[in-house]
Amino acid sequence: MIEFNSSRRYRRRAGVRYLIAALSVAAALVLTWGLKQLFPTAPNALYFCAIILSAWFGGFGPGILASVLTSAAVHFTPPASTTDLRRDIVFLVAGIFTSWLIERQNRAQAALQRARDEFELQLNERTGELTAANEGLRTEISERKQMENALRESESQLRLVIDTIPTMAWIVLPDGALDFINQRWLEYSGLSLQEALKDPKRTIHPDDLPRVMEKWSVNLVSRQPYEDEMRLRRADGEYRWFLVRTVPLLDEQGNILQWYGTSTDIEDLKRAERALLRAQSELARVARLTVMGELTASIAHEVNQPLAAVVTNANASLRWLAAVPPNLDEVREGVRRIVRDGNRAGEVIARIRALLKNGESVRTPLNINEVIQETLTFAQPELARHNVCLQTEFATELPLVPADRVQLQQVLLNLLVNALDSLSAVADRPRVLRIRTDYHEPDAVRVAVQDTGIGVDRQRAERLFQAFFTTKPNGLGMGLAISRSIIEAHGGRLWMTPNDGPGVTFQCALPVENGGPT
Amino acid sequence: MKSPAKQSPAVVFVVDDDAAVRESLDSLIRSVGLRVETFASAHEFLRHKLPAAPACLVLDVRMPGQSGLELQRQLAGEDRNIPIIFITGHGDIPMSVRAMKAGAVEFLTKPFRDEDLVDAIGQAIERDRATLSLRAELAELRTRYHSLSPREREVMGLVVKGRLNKQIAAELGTAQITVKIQRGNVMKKMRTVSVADLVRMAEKLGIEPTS
Repeated sequence: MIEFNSSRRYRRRAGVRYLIAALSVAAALVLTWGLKQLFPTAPNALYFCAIILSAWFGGFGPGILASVLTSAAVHFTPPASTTDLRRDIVFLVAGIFTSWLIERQNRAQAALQRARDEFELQLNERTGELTAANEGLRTEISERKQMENALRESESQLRLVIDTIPTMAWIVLPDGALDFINQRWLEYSGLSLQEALKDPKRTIHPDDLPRVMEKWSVNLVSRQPYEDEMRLRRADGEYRWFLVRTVPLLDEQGNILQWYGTSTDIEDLKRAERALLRAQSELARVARLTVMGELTASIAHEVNQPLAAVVTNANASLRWLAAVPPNLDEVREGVRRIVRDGNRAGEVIARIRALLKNGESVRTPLNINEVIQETLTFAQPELARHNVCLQTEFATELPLVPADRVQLQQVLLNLLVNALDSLSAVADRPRVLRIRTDYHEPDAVRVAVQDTGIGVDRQRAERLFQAFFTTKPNGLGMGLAISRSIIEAHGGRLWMTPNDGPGVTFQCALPVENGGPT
Repeated sequence: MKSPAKQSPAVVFVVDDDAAVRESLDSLIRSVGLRVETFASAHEFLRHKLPAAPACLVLDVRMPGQSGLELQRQLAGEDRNIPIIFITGHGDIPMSVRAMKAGAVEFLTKPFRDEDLVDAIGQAIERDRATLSLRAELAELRTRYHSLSPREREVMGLVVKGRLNKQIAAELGTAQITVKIQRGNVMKKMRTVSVADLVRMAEKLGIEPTS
């Protein structure tokens, strides 16, 4: 099959094409002439071959040229006797038609070739794409395999971690049923997996159980993370304190899929905490006793006054009774006063006892102004004795603060005694002690104890709240350190600022009931 | 001889900052038949006018503002020197010594025995009564003495020195009869009949005879 590129053919120069046409006609002319020498009946068909060849190689134009040339050759070549113009015109028309057909055929073939080329090109492209896609798939598959391996590895690692971390871990289903527990859990409780899954509650201390279950059921409904402390039974029967925390895993709609929980052993922490608390409260008590010691005279006076009144009233009443006739109105009045003053002495004693004993810290909502007034009853006589002018500015309608009354009194007493000491050293100006209360934005009540005493120099001011730092010859150096720790334990702050004039101001801010930590 | 101290009833003043103590003292002192007036501070007491009647002051040592001892010092400088009984919640010895040296009648520690206070009050009032009557008597004698003429005062001075009429006449350079009349006037104006009485009066008046 003859392969040729039509586009190349058409790109051939027109001259060459027409030259080929002319040459092929000339060749046919010579060959036909030669053949006619051999046998005179030789046909003129070779001319047709020249036309077909010209049209094939050169196209329609050279085909026409070849037709015209052969027609002319046939017409003019001897023997002239056979010359017939009509025959030659038919020959020319047939030649031109043949050229046209060939041209058409050539064009069709070229179009076919083009279509084939295009198809092949597309095929190649598509094959390339497919190959690339295949390559990608292969990479993806191998990556996935690697990932799967890594996942399997990390899963087994995770499992190892979960089983060996020094914490008990577990998963609970939305309905509250236990779904998974780690090895630690089983080791600690000494239960089998079946036992544990069936009734995990059995490890909780009976005293803690009702509280724990109530809180947990609330959290199950509210979907809030849960945190609680409870005692859990160890395999040997000993109960230890645990911090139990649970967080829900939610889907996009906010439905709970699972709860994840951990139980961490905090027994040692708890013990240390208790010991620390005991030590702290013992220290605070010692400091309290020290302050009380400084105020003994004041306190004695405070008890002695009502006592003296009781004795005097009783004696007076006896005398009114002994009168002739007895004055019962006076006696009644005297006895009424005895009851009143006796109670007053009792109250003072109760307050002192409360301050001296080392009780549990009990926080109740307190009116700060009342607490200050109560504290002042201890300090007031002492203030008077030192000629200190006491000014109070209490803000009315202050919100209540949740606090331990005794501890708060201790702090205030400490601040008062400090102010008193500072004021006692002043001789050349009025000794003024101002106590103010106000609302401290946004959520605290503030107490300010301001004195016109000798003040504190800058260097010492920084160390004022440190333990065992004191400016007093007989001071323990614990008062302010303990005061600050008490206030901070209440979520508040205690600080000191020097006054514009002489002296300093101690300020204490305590969070109010709704704002602060409970 | 008139004596206001014997006519008006005695008054006890109480100064204590503690209301309960004031009330109880008020009742106790009234129960023994004495008048009482109570004050919450030294300042309040000082604004009050003191009576001519015999009186005493029951005073708390430790008070806000002016203390009891400071009030005692202030009162000592005044004409009317009222006897003071101190009461205190916790009396130390130096404090009581200071109070007693400054003339306090008694220093009682609360709570005290009622007899002790009542006795002290009685004692203080007696002391004040005596002071008042002495003062009244002296005032009367002064009045009498001031009614004498200069010459009569001279005569009186010599009489209490124990001189006879003759000696006085010689000393003053007058007649014996004149001295006798003047001496009679002195005895009449000083309202006495005996020379011994006149001598006591002169002592009380602190008269140094003119020589």
